[in-house]
Amino acid sequence: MMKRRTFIKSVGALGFTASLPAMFSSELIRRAAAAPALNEVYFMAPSVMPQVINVFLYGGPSELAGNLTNIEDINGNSQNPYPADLLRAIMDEEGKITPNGFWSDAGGEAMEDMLASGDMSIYRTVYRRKHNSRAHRPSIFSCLTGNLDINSSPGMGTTLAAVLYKNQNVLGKPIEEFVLPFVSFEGASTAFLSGAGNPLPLAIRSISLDRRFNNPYFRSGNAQFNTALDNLAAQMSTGADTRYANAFAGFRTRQDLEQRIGGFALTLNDTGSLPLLPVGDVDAGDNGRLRYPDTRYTDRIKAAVTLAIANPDSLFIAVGGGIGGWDDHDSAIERYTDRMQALMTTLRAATKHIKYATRPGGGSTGNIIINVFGDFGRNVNLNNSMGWDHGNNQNFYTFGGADLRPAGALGKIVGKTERFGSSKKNRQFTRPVADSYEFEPTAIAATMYSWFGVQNPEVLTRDAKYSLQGETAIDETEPGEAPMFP
Amino acid sequence: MKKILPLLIPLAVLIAGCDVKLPSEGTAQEGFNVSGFAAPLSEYEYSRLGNEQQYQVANKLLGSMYRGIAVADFYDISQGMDRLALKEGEQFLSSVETALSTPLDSATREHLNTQIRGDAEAGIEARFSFTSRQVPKQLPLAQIYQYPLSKDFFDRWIAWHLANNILFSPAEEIDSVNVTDVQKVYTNLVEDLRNNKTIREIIKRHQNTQENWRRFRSPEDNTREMIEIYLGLFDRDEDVPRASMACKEWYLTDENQGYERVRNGEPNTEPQLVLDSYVTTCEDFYELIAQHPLVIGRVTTVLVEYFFAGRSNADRLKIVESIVTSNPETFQDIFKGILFSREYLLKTERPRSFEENFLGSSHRLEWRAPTDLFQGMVSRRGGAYRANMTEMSWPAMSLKLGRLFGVPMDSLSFAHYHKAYRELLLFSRDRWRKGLGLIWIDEPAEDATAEELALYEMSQQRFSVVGNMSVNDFIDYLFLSAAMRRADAVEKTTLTTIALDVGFVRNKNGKDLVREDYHDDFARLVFDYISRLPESYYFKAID
Repeated sequence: MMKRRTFIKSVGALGFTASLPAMFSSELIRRAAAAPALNEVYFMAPSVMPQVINVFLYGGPSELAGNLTNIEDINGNSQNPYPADLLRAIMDEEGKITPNGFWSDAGGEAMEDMLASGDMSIYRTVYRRKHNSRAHRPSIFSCLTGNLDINSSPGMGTTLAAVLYKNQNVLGKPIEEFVLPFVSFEGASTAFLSGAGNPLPLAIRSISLDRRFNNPYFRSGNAQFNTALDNLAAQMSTGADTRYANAFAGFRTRQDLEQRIGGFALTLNDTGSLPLLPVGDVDAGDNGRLRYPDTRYTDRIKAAVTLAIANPDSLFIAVGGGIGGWDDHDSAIERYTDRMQALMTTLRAATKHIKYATRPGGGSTGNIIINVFGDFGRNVNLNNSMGWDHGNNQNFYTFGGADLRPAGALGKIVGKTERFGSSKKNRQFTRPVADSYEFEPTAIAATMYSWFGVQNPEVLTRDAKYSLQGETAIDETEPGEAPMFP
Repeated sequence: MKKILPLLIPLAVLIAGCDVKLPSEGTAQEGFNVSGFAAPLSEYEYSRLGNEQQYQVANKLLGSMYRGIAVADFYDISQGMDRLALKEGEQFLSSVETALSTPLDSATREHLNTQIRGDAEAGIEARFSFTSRQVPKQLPLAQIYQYPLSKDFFDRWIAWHLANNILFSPAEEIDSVNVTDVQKVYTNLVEDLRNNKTIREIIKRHQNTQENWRRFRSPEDNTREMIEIYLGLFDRDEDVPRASMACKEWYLTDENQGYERVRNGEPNTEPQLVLDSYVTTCEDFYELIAQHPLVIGRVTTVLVEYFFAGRSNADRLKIVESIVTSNPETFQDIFKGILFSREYLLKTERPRSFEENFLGSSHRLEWRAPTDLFQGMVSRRGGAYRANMTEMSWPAMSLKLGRLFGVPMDSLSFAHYHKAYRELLLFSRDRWRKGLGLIWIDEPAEDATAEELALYEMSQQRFSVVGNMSVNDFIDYLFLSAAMRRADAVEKTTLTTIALDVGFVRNKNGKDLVREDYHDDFARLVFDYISRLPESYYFKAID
């Protein structure tokens, strides 16, 4: 007979996994948790309104593409050897380590380009010291809610919406008048987790868009009855906004999107809308305009960037799911290399799209930021299936946003790591060295909040158990590391 | 048992449609009863509900299993919609439960499978077509759609659920998994369920398969996920390295070598302390998981979270506790405990999945499914491509962690859902107007199939009633069929006004009448309206 305590622990999983459908059901979001925190937010409208594209790499990407500084030690202690050319610098018999310690054909060359052009910074020491779970779900949820109390916390996009809604009197215009302010290109996203009792107006709740701006919102047939039937449905839907909240919201946004989506599709498919690049640029097509590489990431990232440029009202855009599994437990080297190469070359094109684009109404695109991170980093031992198991330390890649970051925030690598763990066994990881700058994964949400004007993001990222003080924003003035091979 | 078996026959005929033999008498599962908070809805309670509520409950139960019962099969509609008499009111719940425990005889099952896939040599045309590569994902849906309520049906439906959630998803999206793994996972589940294997036996078997290793591909990955998935423990990082030592001789080869699970010949020999027990081999570890006291609570929790998605955390906890303390041994026990519970049938309101809504409605509307329906639902192929569930963020047996987030209702997923439900099902009057009795159809040819003959008989019988209904009765008939409720007075007035304007209805001597040959046009208008109601995408609590 199971003891009650054991039983409760078993279904204690309910407390956690129950949060998974929480984006569709209410009570699991303990609204009391968010509301007082909102009241404690010290908000100052930002001088430059950011637009953040949050690219989340589900599965937990290895850090190695952006950090081979420990590879010799890693290889010396790994159960299975790394390829020999991964141990040499590119100037040494076609090795694969770039001057800044990137993996050359795992996006490393593209990263070097973006580092040199000042379009990117890498933080190599995103390290979970508080509630160090290596399980996917708590890690994904804490990263994308920006809080370790994953049962009670809304997604980071929802929290941002609530902050801006509460403080809209100091924004240039009411947040409810923003067009598509919160967008997902990954369908239902944890970044927009909320309860059915979500008090936010429909206009500022997240909507999800097709990565090619296809238009499933359009209704075929019976066009002559549309108005009459919609009017009757609206008349008969009293109370549906709470009882059938998600379908109700779906119908409300459908009509708006049906009209609007076509315009974005035209822009996306108009190659003439892509910017002209400097002569000789590696990403220029025959016509001199930007040409995105043909990768599995292009659709989503290009769509997100196109939307951000065309519509300054889109403030937070989630890009994830379908972005490829980064859970490289087996056959990792080849697949990870290809995936990272595809991702980083796409991001290089995206940074140029942002940098050289002309906005329809004019104005700088230097407020557009792309953030890239994942559940967690990986073990650095190559296991017998030639993969990496779950780890902790990961990289945070951040692009663009020169108009709102402090001087010196871009074009650098921050953080220094070391290998640790038992030799020739599976449990080998990296960690920040003692004097290295480092931060918790939830600090990424804190940083995003701060860009939007939250002066004390720790009140939004704290919890009652693991992070009592919450997380401050990343210090973007931290000096960068010297190159690995000057 | 003897008391309710006679009811099995008419019910099976009604629910299966008219093209199949009846389930044979067999060994129904007995002995598991949930008590307490999740106790079943009794026949007495059911009989005390109003007629309309009984229809809602019946279709909530059946709809959850992707089935439905047509208005004209549930009620005697010949006396008008104001005087509906139940055809199948008594012992409905127990007759369904009995049907779900009664296996088909092998000849019937073979006949059904031949109908579904056809037999060129025997000159039997296939009821459904499949894309060769995706048969393992399309055929299960076709069988669930076509089989009569029976143990064979129920086992397949349960296997579909299990293979689509975190417990047993084959995870076809992962590079190391292919559609053969999907087939193995699903068919092994069906076989286990057919043999009434216990939950623990099924979990033990499944863990130690190549399919499971292609999903979780290293000793550490595999053992970590077994602890998380089957025990619900997400904070046992200290146990994982020790558990992975027990499995250390196993590994997965690379793509060139076919992603085979192989041993390296260096088994662990030192006992490892995992979850407060010692294990030495991977088999020991899998046994530990399968026999762990948390297993039943965990799998019940996973299923309760889906079926009771609209309920509070506290309620769900009580439901889980109620089911678990009733000591379920099989998945059939848990699924029946959930489906037949009062809490589910009367008090739970949640979004309907696409299968639940689309396939359930198609049965209620006697919709004649296109042959390529399941190609469309699974693979976005053919004329039914709009039904592609991947577009709705609801792919079949694909996701590594299963359909983890409940029914996706974000604006994009819902737009695809609504579009398919409206345009493929509710708009396609050629596929429902005969079954609903909205048109007079010609006598079938001499070489008509049994199915065509049955459809003719049914259609004529219904048309003789429906064709003579008043406008208000007709609207109620359509509403009950599609929305499982009667129309509101405002709805009747407005829809009649629209229909008058476009000529579907005429006024004769102060009385509105549906014009001859316009019943299907009017029905399409009404169904279009119903597709625009948020309530149409939810299982409702019974008020």
